[in-house]
Amino acid sequence: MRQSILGSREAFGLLVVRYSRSVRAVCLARTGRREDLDDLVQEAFLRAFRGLSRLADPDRFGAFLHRIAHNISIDRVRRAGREPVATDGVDLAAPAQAEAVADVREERLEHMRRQVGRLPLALREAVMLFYFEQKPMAEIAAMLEITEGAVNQRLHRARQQLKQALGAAAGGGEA
Amino acid sequence: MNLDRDLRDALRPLRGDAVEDARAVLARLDGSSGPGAPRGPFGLPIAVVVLAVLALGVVVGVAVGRAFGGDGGRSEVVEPPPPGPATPPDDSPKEPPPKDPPPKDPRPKELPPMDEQGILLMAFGKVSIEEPKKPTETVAPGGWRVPMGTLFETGESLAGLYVYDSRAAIRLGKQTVAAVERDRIALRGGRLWLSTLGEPVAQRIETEAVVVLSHGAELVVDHAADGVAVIVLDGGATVRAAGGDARHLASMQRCTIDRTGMIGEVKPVPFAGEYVGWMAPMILQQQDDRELYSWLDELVAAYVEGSYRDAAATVLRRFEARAV
Repeated sequence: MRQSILGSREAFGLLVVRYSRSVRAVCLARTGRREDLDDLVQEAFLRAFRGLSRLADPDRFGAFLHRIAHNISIDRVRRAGREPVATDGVDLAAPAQAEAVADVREERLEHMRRQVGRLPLALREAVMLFYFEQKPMAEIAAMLEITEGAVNQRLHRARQQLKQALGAAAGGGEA
Repeated sequence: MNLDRDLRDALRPLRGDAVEDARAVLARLDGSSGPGAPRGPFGLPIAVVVLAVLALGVVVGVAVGRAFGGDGGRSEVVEPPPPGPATPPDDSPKEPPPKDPPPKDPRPKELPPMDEQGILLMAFGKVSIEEPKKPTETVAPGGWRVPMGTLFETGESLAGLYVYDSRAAIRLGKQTVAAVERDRIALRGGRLWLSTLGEPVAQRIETEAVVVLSHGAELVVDHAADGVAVIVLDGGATVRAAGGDARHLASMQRCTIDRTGMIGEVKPVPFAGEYVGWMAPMILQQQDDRELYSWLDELVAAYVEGSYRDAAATVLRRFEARAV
């Protein structure tokens, strides 16, 4: 039954509802390309649906989907002429926020988005899944196929780097 | 500055719309029943959906049971819903016979005949039963035929029942204790969903605090420690408290009865999903995907429509956990 649920179109739609934000987080962390993010997300799910027969263990659907999202993001960046090197930054700035630049907090958040985009990929991905998708550690660990300790470590390093980058504006506040 | 909070706030504008993503993905998949198909609100329609789902799930059991030629004694009649190790064949009526794989679509075209006897139990996990004049025992997941008057105790499992004689369809939640007769259910604790698959039949659900009289209604009775809630999804029912007070509930109305027998105000049921979501695991473990799709369509429609988004999301999450 589990297999039939995974293989059914409408039930698969439910999986999209559940996982779309994490796929979005992964693709965004990889590419920073918001202009075709919707297309990337859809493409990841379409490939996942078509590749379900290769998924031996339905419990690993999250990791399976994450790998697909990772791969198509790399392909997309390559096609766009950018190398997906882990230290490459991505642009997470939100253009719509520009009009609110007078708002100090909005300005700070915009700055923070830019800094998140400049984190190394592994840290950026952990930050996106934890803060953007707000997934629990265990689920992030399963998706990234690393230990929970490693997720925690990445988040810790990301916070440290962000605090350094944000400098005086961050004011040294702890998460 | 709170870095955690600011990070969440900073990244929030980047979120997409999960439901829109689902729609777009489904639209890109080939097939005919895409998400753009018209959907009704998740109000009354779910009554029909749920009824059909239970009917199909139970009738699958009935069909296979008939194929095995049960004689009214308790016997397993259908493959257990959840996957599990095969049980070795045994001559004992308590053990499942060797089985062929279930047919792809074993649903009969008609409801089972009225001349069948007893109750069909679809156990979605281990269920304790106490047949009349017999000691309590536990049956494994699967379909079992038990005599009228059997007491069911679900523990951590869910169970679906079909009373052949009255064509009453009953679903029992977890931690539910209920004795089932042809037209009477003694609910000692927990919750049940009741409907009738054939002609409307008078049913009586009894707890120590209240008696619910139904004539073919679809309803949920939730017997908690602090009282009883009665939710009528379709049809009508009369609630009569032990102290003599009584109320009539029409479709999509509910009321509560406290432990002293006081009946509370009759209130509308704006969103049926809040009261039937607990049945989701049973829907998922049944064989009929089309009914599952109907549930999902209704729930996603309710989510998209927005009035009952939280409630719909709660039920959706029940599906999600099982769907992966």
